[in-house]
Amino acid sequence: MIEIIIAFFLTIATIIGLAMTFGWRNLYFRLLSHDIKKWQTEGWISPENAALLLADKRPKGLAGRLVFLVGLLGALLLLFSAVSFVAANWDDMSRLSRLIWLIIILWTTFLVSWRLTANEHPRLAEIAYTLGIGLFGVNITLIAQMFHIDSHPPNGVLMWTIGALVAAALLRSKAALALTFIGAITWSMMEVLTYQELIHWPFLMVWGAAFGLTLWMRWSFANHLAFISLLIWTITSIIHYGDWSSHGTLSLFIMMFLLMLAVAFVWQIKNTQTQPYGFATWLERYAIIGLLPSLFFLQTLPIIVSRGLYAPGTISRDSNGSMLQGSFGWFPLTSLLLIGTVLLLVMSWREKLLRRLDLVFFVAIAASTLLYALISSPYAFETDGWLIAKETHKFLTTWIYGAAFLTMLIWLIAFGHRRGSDLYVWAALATFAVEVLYIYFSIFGSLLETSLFFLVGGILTIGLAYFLYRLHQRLEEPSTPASEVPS
Amino acid sequence: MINLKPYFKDRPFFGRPLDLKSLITILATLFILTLMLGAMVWGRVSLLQNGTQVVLKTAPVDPRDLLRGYFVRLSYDISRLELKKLAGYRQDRQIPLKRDGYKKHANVYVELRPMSSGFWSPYWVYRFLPQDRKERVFIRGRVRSYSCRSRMRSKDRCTLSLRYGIEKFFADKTRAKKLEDFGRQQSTEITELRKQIRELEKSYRQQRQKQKKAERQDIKDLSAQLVPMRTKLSKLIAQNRLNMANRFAVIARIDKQSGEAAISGLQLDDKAIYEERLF
Repeated sequence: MIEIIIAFFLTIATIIGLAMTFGWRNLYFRLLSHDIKKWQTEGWISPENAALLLADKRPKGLAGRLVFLVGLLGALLLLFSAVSFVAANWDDMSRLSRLIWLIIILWTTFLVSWRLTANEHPRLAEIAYTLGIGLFGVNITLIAQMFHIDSHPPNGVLMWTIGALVAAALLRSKAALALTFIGAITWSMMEVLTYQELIHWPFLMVWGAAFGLTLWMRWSFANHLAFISLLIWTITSIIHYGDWSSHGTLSLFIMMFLLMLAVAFVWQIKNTQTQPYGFATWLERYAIIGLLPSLFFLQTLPIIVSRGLYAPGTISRDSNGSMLQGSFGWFPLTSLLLIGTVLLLVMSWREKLLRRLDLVFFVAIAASTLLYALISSPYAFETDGWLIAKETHKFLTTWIYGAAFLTMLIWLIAFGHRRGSDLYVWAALATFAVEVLYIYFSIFGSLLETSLFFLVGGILTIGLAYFLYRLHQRLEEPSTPASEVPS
Repeated sequence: MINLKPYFKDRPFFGRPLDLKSLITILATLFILTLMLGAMVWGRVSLLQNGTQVVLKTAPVDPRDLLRGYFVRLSYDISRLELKKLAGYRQDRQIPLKRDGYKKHANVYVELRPMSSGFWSPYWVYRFLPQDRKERVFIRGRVRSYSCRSRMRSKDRCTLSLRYGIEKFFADKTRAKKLEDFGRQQSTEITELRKQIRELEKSYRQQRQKQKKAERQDIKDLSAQLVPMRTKLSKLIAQNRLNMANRFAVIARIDKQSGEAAISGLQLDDKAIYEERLF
């Protein structure tokens, strides 16, 4: 019964998907041309205008991202229904006929995609390629099932990824290239998370091949996929190599994002003529999106993750780890990144892309992050005041960190405003709001009586809203010179 | 050389004439993908044809996989090896303590030797596939865990858990159900004991709810009855598993070069109940 219900919904969804893919634009065009004809006979529009309007709205292949996405969804559903169909009739087939079926379905899908490409339906062809590569994955799974293969699941994902890479290279299929990146990172994550590879280096080989293909195909969206997959791999490797709950690991991320920012600035100096804000802009965006949450979480670590940081006797000394894996394992790499970041920032400042104040703030963030991570290391407490006393650390985290972070955010808002970047302003504003709420909850929340808590909470929240409103209003005002402001 | 262009030009497919270059590209892609799948099948088929056949004691447990159809999880006798109890153990063989023991997910090779009962049993574990393996059979396994349970840090109870890649047996719905039922088969003694325990637990819960009215002593008595019954139940279940493992076995083929194993059949009470056909 459940199979019938699933099959019913799948069919309906597929039909809707396909109908939207094929019919939506045509239907709209037909209705419009009917109306235009009517308006023309009424004399409301001239024949020239009618022709222009029709030419504008005539369906050109398959347009629109929504249509593409719905079509993609339809392809996925078709894939799912194909799998269910084969699975339902699986038991009655011999191994050979199963294999033949699998190969026939695969070939048919690819040949249809090929004809669609030749007939200038590139988007529909990409959907069909997605389906084909998905089916290749299904074939791998089903063959594994046929022969009871259960040895190392990531190998299956790797095989699928290589298949997608081959398809992407030979057919220049964007869908295949996107699936290659998805496959590669899935494979790597499976190896790292399930099979505990310390750092999964082979990922870089597959990634490199896919990235080379991206450059060759000149598909800008794949650049993002390449970057995101590499970022996920890097972050996972660092977390896996070090310890997620340590300040050091997080400081390494912060330094990584700062370095990305610095690279973006320098890139802008070098390429202002040829490529105004391509690569640099999105590198900057990724860096900002990564940097602000990391800086926020750095202060919450002693509270949310390593509760043991303030509790006596619960920190385990990792005496066996080498310098690179122990409690200070992050330190050499973070310092190296810090040096690189500072050098690049100074370079940007000398080229007058950064003001002196900006340089000071960036360097201050980098240096204080390293320092904070260093004094938050378990060794700092274990040796009884070797670097800092526990109470001092608590005070520092609660008061100094919060104040410094808020100041930095205000500067970032100004910096973003000056550069005309909405992302900086909004990201900083959002983080500012979160930080204020965090401080409010962590400091005041636990001290006050319930009614007072809500009263103060309400006032503070309204105050915050007012402050944000004023701040935003100021930023919205045109930056006119003082002499022109009417008195 | 035959010129195919006019042939394709006159026979359009989907409206446009066929382009020979793109046809070659798509065929090349499809050949590569098919070859990859073919290599996967060929590897298994040649292993099933040429591998050394061994019979391994096992017990079916915990079936089902929603995504990949029905399967039965198989737990082998050789899945957990207590190193000192192995036939090949000698004083000069090294049993590492946990710290420098077998690394998780590392490959190891277990030497198998046939017993008079017809089953194959583990002889000794090697970290590398030995060079001298003319008449010997080695199965490749991956380390799941390695632990030594002893306060004295002696090597008496060091256990190695391994996976051989033959732990899942995919079957159709009917066969999977049969195997599952077999796995759940239990002696009447177990069924009876389970029933008693359930009833006792029920009255225990009821007593607790009326705790204020009831005598505390009653509850204590009940819980005192429950503890030995539960212990007995777990012992019986373990025994049941052992009994089943003595009846049920997997026929596997092992590749001489790599030690890789593949399931080629199932056996119940010395009779083959399922045999893999190659195609």
